[in-house]
Amino acid sequence: MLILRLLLFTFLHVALAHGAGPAPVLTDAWRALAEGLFSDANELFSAARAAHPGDRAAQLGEALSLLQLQPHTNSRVQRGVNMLEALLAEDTADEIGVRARYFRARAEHVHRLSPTPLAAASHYERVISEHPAHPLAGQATVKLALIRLYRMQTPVELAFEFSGFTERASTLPSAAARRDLHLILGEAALRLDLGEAAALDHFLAALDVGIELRPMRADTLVRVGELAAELSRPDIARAHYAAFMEEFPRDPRFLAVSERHAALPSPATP
Amino acid sequence: MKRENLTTAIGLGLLAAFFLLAAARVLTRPSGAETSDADGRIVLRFAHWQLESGLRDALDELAREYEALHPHVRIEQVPVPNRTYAQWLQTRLIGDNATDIIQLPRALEDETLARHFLPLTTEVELPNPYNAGTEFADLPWRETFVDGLGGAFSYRPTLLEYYGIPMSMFTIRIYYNRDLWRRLLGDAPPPTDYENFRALCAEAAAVAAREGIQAIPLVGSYDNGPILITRFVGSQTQHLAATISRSRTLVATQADINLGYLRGEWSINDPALDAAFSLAREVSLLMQPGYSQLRHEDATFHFTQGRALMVTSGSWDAPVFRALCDFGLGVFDIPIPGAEHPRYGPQVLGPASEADTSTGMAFAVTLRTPHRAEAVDFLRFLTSHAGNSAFSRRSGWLPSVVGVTPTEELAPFLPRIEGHPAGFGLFFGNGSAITQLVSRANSLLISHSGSVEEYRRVVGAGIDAAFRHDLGRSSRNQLMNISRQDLLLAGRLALAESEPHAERISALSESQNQQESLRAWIEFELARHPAR
Repeated sequence: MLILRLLLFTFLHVALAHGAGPAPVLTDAWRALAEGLFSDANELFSAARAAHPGDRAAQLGEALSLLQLQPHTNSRVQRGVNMLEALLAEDTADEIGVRARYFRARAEHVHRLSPTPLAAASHYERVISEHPAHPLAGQATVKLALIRLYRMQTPVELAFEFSGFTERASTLPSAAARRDLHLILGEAALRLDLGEAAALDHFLAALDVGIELRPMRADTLVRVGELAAELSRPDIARAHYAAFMEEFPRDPRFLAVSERHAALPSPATP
Repeated sequence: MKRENLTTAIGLGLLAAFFLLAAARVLTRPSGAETSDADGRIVLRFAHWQLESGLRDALDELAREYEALHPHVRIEQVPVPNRTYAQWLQTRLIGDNATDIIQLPRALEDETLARHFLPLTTEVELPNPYNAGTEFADLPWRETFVDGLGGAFSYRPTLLEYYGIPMSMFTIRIYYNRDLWRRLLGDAPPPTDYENFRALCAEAAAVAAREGIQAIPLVGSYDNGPILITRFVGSQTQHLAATISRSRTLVATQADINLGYLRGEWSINDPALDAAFSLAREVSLLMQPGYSQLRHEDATFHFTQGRALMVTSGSWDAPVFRALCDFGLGVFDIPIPGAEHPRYGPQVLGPASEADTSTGMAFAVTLRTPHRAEAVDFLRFLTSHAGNSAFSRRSGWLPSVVGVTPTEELAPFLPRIEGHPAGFGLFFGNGSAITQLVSRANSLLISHSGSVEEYRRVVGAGIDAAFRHDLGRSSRNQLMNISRQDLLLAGRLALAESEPHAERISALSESQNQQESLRAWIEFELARHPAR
């Protein structure tokens, strides 16, 4: 394996030095990253960057691979952070700059051995304010909501934050971010006692956007049925219980849901 | 040259010689076992740890049938003992000489899967050609499995990829010795309710003692005991689990259980737990004293030798018992108390559903096999309607494929679809610290000299710290997953322009945000409710 890796590394250096474009190599590197092969990705990005020192995409890739390279150490994460900072010092407005800013926030939020969410929040805010139409601004808003909702604060402050993110949820630049923010706000409403009605609205909005993971869709249909029944909105409960029974006949909750469905008041006749 | 120097030189010389020899062996060894035989046929090897009677024969017969259909392929089975399987697998994967197909073990990290196994996500969305001419001809392969490949062996949610193709599924039942039953209990039918079960155990013990028959009514062991007790305890926590579900999903997640405790939403003195502990103690006392000192093999030995009337085990043991027992074998479902039971009924919602029984014995294709297409094709063959029917019939194991009619012998093992979600068991879901605490206190609950009160006192004294430890560990594990997913997302974002990853990016971000939301809640509640 070691010999093969050395050969690969040498080959890449030679290939790149002789004018072979970086694109195919970077594609392999990004694919390795997408498949979770972080050390392979790191080697490929390093080789590409050594051959083309000014390649911002290669630098971004190498920086990201360092955030998870094993063994996971503070110094490796810091090297990755330094590379992201260097990219941001050059340009914050191009696509690489936007990604560098977003992952700079992620480095503080989840990659450091001791995460610092408050430091992450300021980077998320910059992604949102400087690139409001970029899909990563939507994801940055979701992450920022998690930091702002789940922190020690008074009930008034919590209600203020919740209402602020509720207003933003329908305006996010990507459907995935809208769905994720609605799900997070719905769950926060239940966990932090912000009201069943608010939770129901957010879960309904998430279903409207489209939930992709089957277990999450099953859970959300049950939640909507339960909350709507509790809030005396039997039509909504009926429709969502029925959707659950049709889509998830082998779920162990099937019998419980069918009993609840049957116990709802009859639909009003026109 | 001095004598000492000469000795050192010879030693170093020998060391160098052996190093060179070893290096030469490594460099000249083939990359794996031979990939074709003397006749030029492709050799496809599959490894597994299922050494149960009949299993290897069933797989062998299927392999021969596949070879008849594909004369250019030869299939070899590589059975590996369970106790050494993890080490064997790790060595083979790292040494790059693994078999083409491997049974996936339970605990396999994301990185190992991603690095060494072939994702079958594209393949499972296509019809299985071996189902041509059947009602499943046009169905995606994934949808032909009873769990839609949603089981932990098949689908890895953190990677959003399918890897394992399962052969069977497993349920838990009580086996009994029909001959011994007749001697001890006459024509009494198997029990259908809890009180009847207890009465039969007492009756069997009394008759055996009176007539000098060496027979344990219900043999237990460290492995068999808990799987029986868990079913009974789960019946008593059904209501409680539904009540403490903050997520309003009708089932309690692990976070609901642990955080609900920290938030004061339930306590160790809850009436449901009082009933659960009492029931666990009653059921434990039905088994022989000191049962937790024995292992599964010991319980199996007692039962197959005719020295135990009943034993609790999974459907995986059915072919073993059929092969080893020279007496008639009976099977019945675990008789949990019904809602009408005066003591235990109030906590019960109803019989627990087994509709979510997921599949197992899953095979995956190694990433570096030179015969990727043939390996996938063989798995399609094994799990076609006809292939899985033959496997189930010959092995005596439940099928994993929809529409396969099990043999009459397997009928009692079919999952019970009707029912309510089970509650949590004696270990309060799972978690290393709470498992250790409950295990340490276990003897207080299951021994004749113990008591529910003493057990509750010991568990109650440590439960807060145990839950905090497990929540902290869970949060750290989630952080590892979340941070890994960040890079998977980054890779997919970069590839999105050239490859069709958009849908996977959306699903991956949904999965990641859910985990981050759960982790944020755990960290928040841990900070909000300091240790008691």
